[in-house]
Amino acid sequence: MSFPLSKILNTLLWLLLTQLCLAQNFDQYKLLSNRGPIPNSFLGTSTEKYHEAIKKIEPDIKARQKKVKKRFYLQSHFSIGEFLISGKVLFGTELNEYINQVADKLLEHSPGLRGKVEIYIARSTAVNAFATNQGIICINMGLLAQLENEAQLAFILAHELTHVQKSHSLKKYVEADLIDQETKKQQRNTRSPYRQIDYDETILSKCQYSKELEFEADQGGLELYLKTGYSLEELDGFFDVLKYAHLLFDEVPFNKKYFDSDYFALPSGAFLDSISAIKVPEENDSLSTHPSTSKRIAQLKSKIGNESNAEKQKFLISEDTFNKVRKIARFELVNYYLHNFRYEDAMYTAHILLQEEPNSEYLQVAIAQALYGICISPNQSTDYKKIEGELQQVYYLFQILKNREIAILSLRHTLDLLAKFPENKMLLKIEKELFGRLGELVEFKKFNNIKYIDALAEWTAAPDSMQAATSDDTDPANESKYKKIREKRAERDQKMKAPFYPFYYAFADRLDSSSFIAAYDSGVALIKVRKEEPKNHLKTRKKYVYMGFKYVNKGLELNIDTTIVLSSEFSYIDVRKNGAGYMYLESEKQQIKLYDRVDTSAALLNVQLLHLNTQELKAEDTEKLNAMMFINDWISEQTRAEDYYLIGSNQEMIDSIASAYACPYVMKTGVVLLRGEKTDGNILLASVAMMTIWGIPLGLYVLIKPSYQMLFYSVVYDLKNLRYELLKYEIRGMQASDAVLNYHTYDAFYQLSRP
Amino acid sequence: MKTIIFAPVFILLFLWTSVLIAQGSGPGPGYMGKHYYFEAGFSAMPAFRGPTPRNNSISGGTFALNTRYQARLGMILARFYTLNLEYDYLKTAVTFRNRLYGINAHVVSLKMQYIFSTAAPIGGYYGFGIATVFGSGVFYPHFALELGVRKIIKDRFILYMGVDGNAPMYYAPFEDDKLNHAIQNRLVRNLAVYLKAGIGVLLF
Repeated sequence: MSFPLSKILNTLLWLLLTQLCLAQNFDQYKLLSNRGPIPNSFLGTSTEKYHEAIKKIEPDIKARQKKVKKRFYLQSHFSIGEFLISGKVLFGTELNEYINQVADKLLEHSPGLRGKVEIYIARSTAVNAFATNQGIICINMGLLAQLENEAQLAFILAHELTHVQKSHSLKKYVEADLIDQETKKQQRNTRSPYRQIDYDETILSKCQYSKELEFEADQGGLELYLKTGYSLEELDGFFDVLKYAHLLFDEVPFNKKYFDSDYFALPSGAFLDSISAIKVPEENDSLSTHPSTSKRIAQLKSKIGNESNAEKQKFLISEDTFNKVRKIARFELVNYYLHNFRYEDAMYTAHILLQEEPNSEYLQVAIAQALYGICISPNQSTDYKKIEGELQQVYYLFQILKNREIAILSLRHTLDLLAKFPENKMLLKIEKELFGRLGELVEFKKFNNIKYIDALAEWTAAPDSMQAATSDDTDPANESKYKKIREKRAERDQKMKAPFYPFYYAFADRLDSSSFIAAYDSGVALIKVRKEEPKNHLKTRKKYVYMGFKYVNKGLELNIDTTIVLSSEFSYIDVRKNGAGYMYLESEKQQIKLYDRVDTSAALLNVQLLHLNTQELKAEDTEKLNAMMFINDWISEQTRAEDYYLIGSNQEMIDSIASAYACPYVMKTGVVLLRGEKTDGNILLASVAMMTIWGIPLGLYVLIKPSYQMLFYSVVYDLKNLRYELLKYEIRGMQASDAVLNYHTYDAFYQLSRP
Repeated sequence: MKTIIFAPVFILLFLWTSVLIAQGSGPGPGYMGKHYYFEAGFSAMPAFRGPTPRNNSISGGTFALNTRYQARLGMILARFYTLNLEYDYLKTAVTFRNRLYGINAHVVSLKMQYIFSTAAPIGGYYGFGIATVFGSGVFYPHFALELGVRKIIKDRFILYMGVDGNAPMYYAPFEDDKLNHAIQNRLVRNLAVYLKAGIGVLLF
């Protein structure tokens, strides 16, 4: 792509996304994205950072220690490097600003440490935070959503800052290596014929050391915390946050009438009469890396002693800002749950937030998205019996409803929302898909055009026909399993009928509408087309041709001349018994080369590339990083929903990106190379070959030649039509040589561009 | 005479099949857009104590080799197919009535290669085609078979190695008392299996 065009696109994207992100009102909430220049830690290669880091290793330490430290720097720099540019980390948002202000407060008297740390937000629902040896601290969005006040946030930061200050991650790594060495030594010295590794003991030792470091971080954190004016009373509350981290951030009774309207009401049997009480989690920390909360509280209390809480406060920066930040975090969580296909959690979270923001279009649409997700997803969600608290109602509801009932409920609710938000693009997309689902599951003639309330009144006047069947007096213990199953099903059906089976009355107000009938028919047609055009095809075509004796891959003819191209991936793993495992340095080197191959091949075939490559990022490319973040999320969802059509949880953003780039296609290329042991076949071939003098060179060649397995893949996604196509998926028992990679890359673009 | 009639028929049949395959499996992408290549190489087969042109004895010894030099023009027809026109210069020897006769023959072949490990032209392949020997008073048409592997270096150069084999198109008993028949018999045996290696270049 020429330079000026790239600039124009960047500017357009910047304008578009900043407009979407800056105006953060909760009625029209827009997902967070990064703002401002990209921090230096995100830029450059991990190889460079690793080489810089190992220069700082003390020269006078033992060779073994040096080796372990080098390995630690290698693994940590590459892991964190990959994490930072994965799109899972946020910087520059108002949440980051606020957290940094709290960190400034904590480190007022430690400017050296303040200069060493960088604090980001991880886009994760987990209630967690972590710190790396490089000084990067990540607070998860899930944790921010659960906190009760600023003081708790300050304590988390203080705890993580101590981890950084005392290089805990490095110490933990070195200690783990020592424990492994010691275990191996003991094994060698044991003369018992039954000698074996005592894994439990090794793990216990590692966990024990990790717990010691956590205590140390608590203690160090407390020292930092005590220097500030934050309230000491909030520490107990903070540990409650950790203790109940498996629950969502609030407990609000689920409104059983939420989905009801004039035309539809869920029967009372769709809800549980009583929910499971929330249990106090067990506190066995023997195999945990963290001590139990009670032990941590006890330790902190002993350290606090008689420290006065006078003039200490919960909020030093601003309570309003904290509340806003937490609310944003909670709004974000709704989308993260949708992204992770945790639809019930998304629905319940949105339901809680709606109490506070009843007019939020974002939350109402999120509930429609969750309904749509439950409706089309073939995956079974967690058993409702395993869920505690009010959330159990939501899980129960969608486990007791049949697929067709969920489809009817989802569409009815979407239609009601569309009446409120007729321009909402997400709802319009969902509506179209749900008509398809409805057409697949329910015949049109099943629907009754009597208004539910009227039918209910009619039924109440003459209820005999709908009476429940009387049960017999058989002793349940003597009944057969199948009889019990039948009875359970009958009981469920009966329960759902009480007081009246409402689903076929759901569209009474629309059955006469020609637009409804047309939408239903187009839904039926859509499903028919989908069956002929599976999701993994961009165009209906035959890729393989029968030659009379075998099927031959004739390749694709996608006729695409412009595509967005994401960073290539290259994973080189040595899986031999004593192999080095993941080869970080070689993988990154090959990854850069692979991207160059992509560039060269595209140029040879006149395919225009719109680059979204992490390795080429500059500080000002924040919008490119944001686009990558949203596209990666979308691809992750499409990959998990590989055999059914799915509107992405961030589809609105994706459509904006596709429009800004004027290109709906995204391409990704990658290689996985495994170096393995020689197979028995190799050894047999070498042995047979070396039986004759003329076979010796061949035998030697087979023995010397390293054994590889290579996977080359190249996939192109259609952002607007929710489809993808595997251009290449080649598994070969060969080294990923330059020629092989060049060929495959060129072939991928050849198939992409071939008319 | 039969051979002269059969040869063009086989060539036409072979070309027609090649075109059909190419059409059926779609045009090939080539290697980075290059569809033609030229290769030159050396083939050798142990004489197995038989005569060779370089010694004057009936037995050539364990390490004596019969040699063949080859030049080939290849075209990438489809994703997994290449069509090759090959010329070989063959040197061997035959003993007839206790005298050693050197044989210098020319082999022209047309081969279709199917690349099974990667795609044309890289990787392992097997080939099938038709070929004929000219020279030394012999005209010997036969089926040509090959199995090999081809590598590309620096996006331009080719290295290849493999095994060539041949099978007669039809069996015709030869009279033992004629020199050209002895030569022909020798060629049939000699061409049966050959090891080969060579270099090449991707043209355009």
